[in-house]
Formats: sequence, structure tokens, C-alpha cells
Amino acid sequence: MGQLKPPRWGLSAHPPLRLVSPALTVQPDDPTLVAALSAHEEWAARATWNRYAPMVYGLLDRALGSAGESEDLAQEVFLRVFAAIKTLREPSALRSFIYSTAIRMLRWHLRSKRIRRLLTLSDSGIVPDRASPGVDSEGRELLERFYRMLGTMGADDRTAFTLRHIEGLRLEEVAAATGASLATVKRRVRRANKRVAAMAKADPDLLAYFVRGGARNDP
Amino acid sequence: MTPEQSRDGEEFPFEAVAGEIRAARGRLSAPQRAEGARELLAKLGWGEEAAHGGRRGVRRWAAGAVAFAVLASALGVFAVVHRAARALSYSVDGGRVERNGFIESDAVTSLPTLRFSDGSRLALDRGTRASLGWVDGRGARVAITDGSAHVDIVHRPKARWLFDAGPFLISVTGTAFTFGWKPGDEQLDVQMERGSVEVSGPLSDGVIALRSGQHLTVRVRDGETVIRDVETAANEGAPAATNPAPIETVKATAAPEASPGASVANTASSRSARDGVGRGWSARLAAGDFEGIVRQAQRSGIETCLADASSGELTALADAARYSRHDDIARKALVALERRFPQSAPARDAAFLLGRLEETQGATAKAVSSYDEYLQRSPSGTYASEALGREMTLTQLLSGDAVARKMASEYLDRFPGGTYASRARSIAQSR
Repeated sequence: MGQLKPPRWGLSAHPPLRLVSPALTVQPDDPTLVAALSAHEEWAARATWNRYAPMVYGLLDRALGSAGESEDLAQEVFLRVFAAIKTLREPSALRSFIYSTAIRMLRWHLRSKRIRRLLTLSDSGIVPDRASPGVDSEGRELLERFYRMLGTMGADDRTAFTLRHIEGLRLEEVAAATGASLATVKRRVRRANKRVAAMAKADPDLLAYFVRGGARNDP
Repeated sequence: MTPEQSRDGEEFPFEAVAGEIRAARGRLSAPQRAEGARELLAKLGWGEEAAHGGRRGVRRWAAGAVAFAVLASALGVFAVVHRAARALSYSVDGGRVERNGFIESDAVTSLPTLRFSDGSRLALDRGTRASLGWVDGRGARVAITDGSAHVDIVHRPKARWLFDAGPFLISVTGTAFTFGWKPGDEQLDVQMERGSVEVSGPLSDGVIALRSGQHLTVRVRDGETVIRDVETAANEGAPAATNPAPIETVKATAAPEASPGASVANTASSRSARDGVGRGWSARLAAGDFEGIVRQAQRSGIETCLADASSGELTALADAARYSRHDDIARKALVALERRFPQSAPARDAAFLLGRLEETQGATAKAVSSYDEYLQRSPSGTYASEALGREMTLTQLLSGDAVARKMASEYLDRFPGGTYASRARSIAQSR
């Protein structure tokens, strides 16, 4: 090895050791992300996606019952969020900004699907959706039937039903998330409940499956 | 039960439905997330914007985004309709696709082959467990949970084909390759025939690009990623006058930096193997026979090898020893490289690789010295980004933010989109 210059930073070869926290990774907070997104910093887009994509995808996938649709729509949600990031007045509210954008996009998407159905084109595609881990084939088929049932509802009722029952939001939270009044949300949820209950009565297998607690309670 | 349920839902078990749906849906897998990030960043084009820079570009983008949003709202329905209407069709030879997407063979002896209407083809190897995720107009998504498959994709504009292999995602547009995932060994293999693919997964926050003739092996458990040029192995037996293709090695850390600025953890190096013909170690390295190389060196006597091996042989021995966890032999080979061939490229790289060895053995201060030495000898070397990032990280650990801040500034100046850029920012901003 040739003659070396002194260390570039004046470090000794054996710097004194000191105790450090095991946590090495510093995650930026939401206001930092918002500022960086406004400046079109690519790392911020990646970080925002990594932090909130599970939330957005989860909401969409549970609402739509389709991994492919949910992946595509999640992309659109984040593009919309980034395009409108400068309108976010409270940077610490990034999470709720993304969530409400996802709900708006979900309603738009559900309306599009209804229009498509009116045009008598299939919206379910010709291949099965990705297998859901932990669900047996019977359960998968029955869930598909349940989603087809939801597909006959209006976008607003379906969104309210999804947020209330599947996402577990309180009625006030559903109202805030959808921008509707509490009375309107109550009306939508009630209408959706009646419709789901009526349709389920016409599908005894589906009803029985849910009543017995699905595959998880099977012997 | 909630009030509106008791009034209007009567006997319908809403809670049970919600429970089933939550159990079945809504989990974004690591490959999905990695692919989603890649797709999103490509759509945004912020990296290109930064490169070609300027606020004008930002304003143009914003205007474009608004226009896009309006246009998308207006035409979205018809775009979706159009896309759905022209989805590829497919057939399965020797098998079938079940309702749940799993690809089953018709008989024990048959090997299912999916043939798509654009001419693309996927043939499963024996015993492979695979499922078809979706098919649309641009391509399809197929997941292998155990086993391997040969893929031949016909190149078309805007094609999108995705292949899950365990926790990895392989993204292609037009290519032919074989890939496999061994869950027991946690090993991914991708053998390229033509074209190119991108692989993302748990060992890198970015993507690994592969081109024709390369073979990628990722050992998740060992935190090691190796790209071998298969043509090298074929050429190795040829006369010494031939000029074999380089071997590339990629080292990805087992615990990737979970930082937001992380991009492609690309620490690839190319090194000549032209001296490695005598013992045939370069060919054996390319074939993955790491233990065999080390055993041969031990039989011949390590000290003898270190004294008379060529530069290429020492490089191959060091790599083989590192990959097979014979750290002591790897260290000796690297030190011998530095001592005997001080002006060679492998000798310059040796300082970095010694740093990695020292770091994995907990000799943090020595590792910092080695990285520093590498950066002095090869300030623009292949490993410069990684060496500076590691030096900064370890210095922060050893000496605190104040000392590491200078390195963070240098890192951000030189590699603003690098793997350690996020950490560098946080160090630079710490007061």
C-alpha cells in the first residue's frame, strides 16, 4: 500500500467510542415531507408513498375488492395529492389530506364503474383477482359475491357503508371524510344497510358464511 | 351493533362481514409497495426535473398536473372502458388457472404453460407453485411462491409485465429469462437470455437492472446480491488471449437504510478477470462455486496462494471467501492484493471491501479508516458513494453529528440522490 495522506476529516484511526441509541434511522415528520414535496424532492415522494401507501391501498382494496384496481387508483391518489400539496394549509395534516383525497377518488372511481355498468361492459375483468392470503376458495368466492352485491349500490351509499362498517369510522368521521352532513351520512348508511341486508337474504350461502364467522371459525 | 344496524340491518352480521374483509384484503406487500414507488416516481419525473432543473419546470409540471387531472376526470371512464375492452387473452397448455388464480397442472407429469394473445409465454418448471394475479391490455402479473419458470415476453410499446418471486418483483417490457424463488433458502435467481429487466425487493430500496446474459442471485438470509455474467463462465476455458466479459458483483446491505432518500443501492463494481485463468477461479466464481475456490486455496496453502496468485485470482479468492463467510481468508486476500498490486483497480477496491469486512465484524473505527483510505485512493471510484455514506454513518455513531456533518455535506454535494442522501440531510440539519 502506498503512502497515505492523513484522514480526510482529521479523524484519528480510533475515534473515542460512545454509547448510541440503536435506532439509526431518522424519519422525517409530515411538515418536513410537505415542504419537500412542495419543492418536488423525489425522496419526499418516495417517503410519502412508503409511509401512506399501505393506508391508502388498504382502504381502496377493502372498498373495491380488487388488487389491480386498488393499485392503479392508489397511484392516482398520490399523484393528485402531490399536485395539490401546496393547497394544504396545515402541513401536519398530511395524513388526513391523503385519506380524504383517497375517499374522493374512491367515490369518483365507483361512479365511473356504475357508468361502465350502464354501458353493459364488464368491470370485473376476465381473470380472477389476486388470491387473498388466509382465505379459503369458498370464502374468496363468497367475498367476490359480496363485492358484486356492493357493486349494485350507488357510489355515495357504498362509500358511506364501507367507511362505516369496513373501516369502522364513526358516523361523524364518515361525514367529515366525505364532506356530507351527518344527517346525509346517516341516511346513506341506513339505505345501504337495508339494501345489503335485503340482498343477503336472497343469498343464504353468503349470509350463512358470515354468520358462522367465515373460514376462520371453520373446524 | 351500532344503532343504524339494529334499526335497519336486522339480522345481517355487519361486524362479521367487516372482519372477513379485513382478514382477506387490504395488505400491501413489500414488492407491491416497491413497484408502486417505482411507478409513481416514474410518473412524477421529479428526478429528471431536478436534473434539467428550474422552477419553470415545476410550474410547467403543476400546470400539466392540473390539466391531466381535468382531462383524466373527463375521460377516465372511457379510458378504463377502453383498457378493459382490450385485455389480453390467454390459454394454458397442460394445466388450468383456478378461480383463485393458482396455476394447476392437469397431471403430475405435465408442465403448465401460459400463452398470451400477444405471443408472450410463461412455462412453469416441475413442482412450481404459481398464481396469476391479473391480465390487462398491457400485460399480466404472475407470482411464484416456490419453484421457477421460463418467461418469454414479446416486446410491445407500454407493455407492463410483473413477476413476483417471493418478496421480489421483476418488472419487464420485452425479454426472455428464467427466474425462481426458493423459500427454504430465501434465494432468488434470475437468468437473463435477452432484453432487460428490473428487480426490486427487500435488499434494495431501489431497483437492480439486469441485461442480457447476466445471472442474478440474491441470498436474503446472507444479505448478499451477486450478478454474474454467464458468458464469462463460458469463455473461461478459452485461450488466454480472449478478453472475457467482466464479472460484476453487487453488495446490498442486509438491513437496508429505511430512509426516504434511499434510491438504488448500486454499489456495483466491474473488475477484470483476465488474470484468473490459471486456477480457473473466475469461472468458478461465476458459477457460484465459492466454497470450492476456498477449499482449493486451503489445500494449496493459503499463504502460498497469497504469494503467487495473480491479481485476478486474488480478487476471485477474496470474493469467494467473502461470499462463503471465510472472513479471515477474504481479509488476507484483500491485504495481499493491496500489497502486491498496489496500482491495480482491484487493490484500490480492496480498501472498501476491507471496510465492509471490518464493519460486519464490529470493528467500526477500523472500517471508518478503510473507507477513508478508499476515498483518498479512489475519490471517484465505483464504491465512492457507498464508502462516503458508510463513513458518514459510522462516524455519526462514533463521534456524533457534529463530526459527521462535514461528510454529510460532501455526500449531498456529490450524491444528492444517493442511498444515504436522506440520512445525510438529517445529519446536516441537526443542530
